[in-house]
Amino acid sequence: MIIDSQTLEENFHADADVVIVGSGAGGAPMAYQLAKAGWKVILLEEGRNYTPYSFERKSWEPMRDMYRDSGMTFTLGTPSIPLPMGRALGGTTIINSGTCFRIPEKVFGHWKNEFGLSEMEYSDLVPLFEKAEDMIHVQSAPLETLGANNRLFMEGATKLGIQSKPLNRNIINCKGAGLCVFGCPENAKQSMEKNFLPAASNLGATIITSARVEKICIKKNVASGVEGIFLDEQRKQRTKFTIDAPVVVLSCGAIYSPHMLLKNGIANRSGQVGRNLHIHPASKVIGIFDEEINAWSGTPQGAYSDDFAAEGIMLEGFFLPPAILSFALPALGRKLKDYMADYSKMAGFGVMVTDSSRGRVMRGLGHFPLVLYNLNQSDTDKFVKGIDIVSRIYFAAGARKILSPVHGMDELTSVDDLEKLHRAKVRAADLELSAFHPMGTCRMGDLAKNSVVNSHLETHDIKGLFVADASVFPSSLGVNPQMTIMAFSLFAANYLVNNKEKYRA
Amino acid sequence: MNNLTPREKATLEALAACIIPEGGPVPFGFKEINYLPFIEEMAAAVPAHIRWVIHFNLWFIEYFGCLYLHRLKAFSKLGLNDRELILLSLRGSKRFLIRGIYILTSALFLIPMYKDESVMNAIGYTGFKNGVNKIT
Ligand SMILES: Cc1cc2nc3c(=O)[nH]c(=O)nc-3n(C[C@H](O)[C@H](O)[C@H](O)COP(=O)(O)OP(=O)(O)OC[C@H]3O[C@@H](n4cnc5c(N)ncnc54)[C@H](O)[C@@H]3O)c2cc1C
Ligand code: SF4
Repeated sequence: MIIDSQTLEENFHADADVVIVGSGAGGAPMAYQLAKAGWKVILLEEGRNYTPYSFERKSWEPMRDMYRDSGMTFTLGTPSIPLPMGRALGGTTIINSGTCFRIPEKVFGHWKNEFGLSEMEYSDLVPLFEKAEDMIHVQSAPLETLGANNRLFMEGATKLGIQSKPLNRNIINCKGAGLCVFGCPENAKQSMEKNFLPAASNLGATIITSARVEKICIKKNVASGVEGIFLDEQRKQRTKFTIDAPVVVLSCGAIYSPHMLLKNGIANRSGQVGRNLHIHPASKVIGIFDEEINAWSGTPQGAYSDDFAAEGIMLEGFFLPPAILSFALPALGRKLKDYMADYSKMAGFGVMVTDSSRGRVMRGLGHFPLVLYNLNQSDTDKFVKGIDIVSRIYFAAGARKILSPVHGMDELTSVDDLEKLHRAKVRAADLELSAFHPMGTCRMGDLAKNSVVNSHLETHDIKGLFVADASVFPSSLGVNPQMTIMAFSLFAANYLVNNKEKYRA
Repeated sequence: MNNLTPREKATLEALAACIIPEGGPVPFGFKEINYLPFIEEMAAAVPAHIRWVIHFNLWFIEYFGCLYLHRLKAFSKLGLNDRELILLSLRGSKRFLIRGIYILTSALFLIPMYKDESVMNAIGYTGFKNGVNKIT
């Protein structure tokens, strides 16, 4: 059953075989797989259940409701980067763009070479990807929903001999509403609350929303449960709860899982908890054309090019409604109005970088972690190259103007202007970035001295304490992470199922 | 947010004239757009720490914005050109907090402006009409 904590009694107490914290791409598949194997599962989620969600809402309401801190989460460093995260049943998957990739074999090979991962083979993951893809209906984005935004990019890319393709997405009957990041109003995007979570619930799992875990209970270096608070309508403490369980799975995402471990002062003999933060920083290039494009019509993130993936550059479509795009454009007042008058003639594509820069999650005040991240010059150079490529593609497709994310070089009007971009010696502080894929802060590996969890995702330090989310990736993944998180989570769940005896209460 | 002080309202008014000016190719601006009720409603609905950020940003712009002009005068008492210069400096700042103040403050005006039906019609955005793009 899926219940709101407000329906539960004060000082609630329960026992389970496993307690899972967080209902996103990590927590949901774990709950499903363990419930399917007959485990008594309790999953706790801090956010609310927004299904069915009324989408006749004001633009800031989905941000306030489904995003942590109303979407105002940033990294501190140069440049400061907005790093939005979901806080709802389904985690960040409810507000993500629905793009699905498997981990590239090369990246997995690199992780094995560097960190061992002795219990995990790529061949083990393949059926788990298949299972997850089947559950969440992954399919190639239908051409008719791509919209002119993606088609134009693909045409321009073809002219320059660059390959581009429709993305794989987790959708059923996508209407191309273009609002995936506000929660799909068509119920087309198959985020966790539409598949893994109800399936887990049907198999007997108890899923409690508005329940924030604060403490991980440990007895003699063995996990024994969690304590936390149930939240009221105002998101304030209503009452406390305790769940006893011999297995605790943290799936709070790559910012809040390490923060939980740091707050509790556990599982950090390696000193690696919170370190090695990668975020896949991303930027946007807007092309302004002579003809109407109506880029808002169609799947915003519908096509991509991985031709430059070896250099750490992925290109993926994006677009936003005018109320949101307007404050992301490089202009003020009259100039901004000039740009916005051309809204229907704009197209947008994103540049995402496989970052070698590393940040850090530290304990902040109360529930607020401190997220530090400085972009290094090598990653900055990847952005310059990516912006250059998208601009050339747009010029080839007929753009008359490019709005670039480089301060001081806001408007480019011809391919010649791109030379200026290269001559300008762009620094990290000059870039306007955002990021959507935090990872790496509880990295996995065979050695307890340089990693936090082993390759079945159990912490080296505490028996029965697992981390199943994006924090376990040892380095920047290079592709959108949700599928890999799901496959890893299913892998750890299978380990638990096969070793249940070890974890008897 | 009935706790908006008269000074904050004056700052908002001074900001509106720069961020959503009258005239130009989109024939609507601060005189037509009902930004104040939007800001009040939004600030009343967001969590307390976000509301605090809104108050802080307005306070910062009102009293410290003038440092970019190397003189001491409240933002709401400056002329339009000076106010625009301050906002351009905030926008172009390499310091994350400063740039963040600009982005969040400009959003207070740009969201009500570009979710206004007349404005959306004027810029050719019809997504909100076909019943699919309901969030405007
Ligand atoms: C705008 C946006 C677009 C994106 N687009 C894509 C995309 O197209 N494709 C893709 O692959 N990825 C995308 N991502 C990223 C992807 O959605 C995330 O990487 C993925 O959901 C992370 O899974 P997770 O399990 O690590 O964490 P999450 O999905 O974030 O889940 C963590 C959950 O834990 C809960 N939680 C945290 N702390 C506690 C606590 N103490 N107690 C109880 N609950 C707690 C949170 O409320 C949250 O619901 C996008 C992200 C964003 C923000
Ligand atoms: S494009 Fe629209 S219909 Fe399709 S998944 Fe996104 S929001 Fe839903």
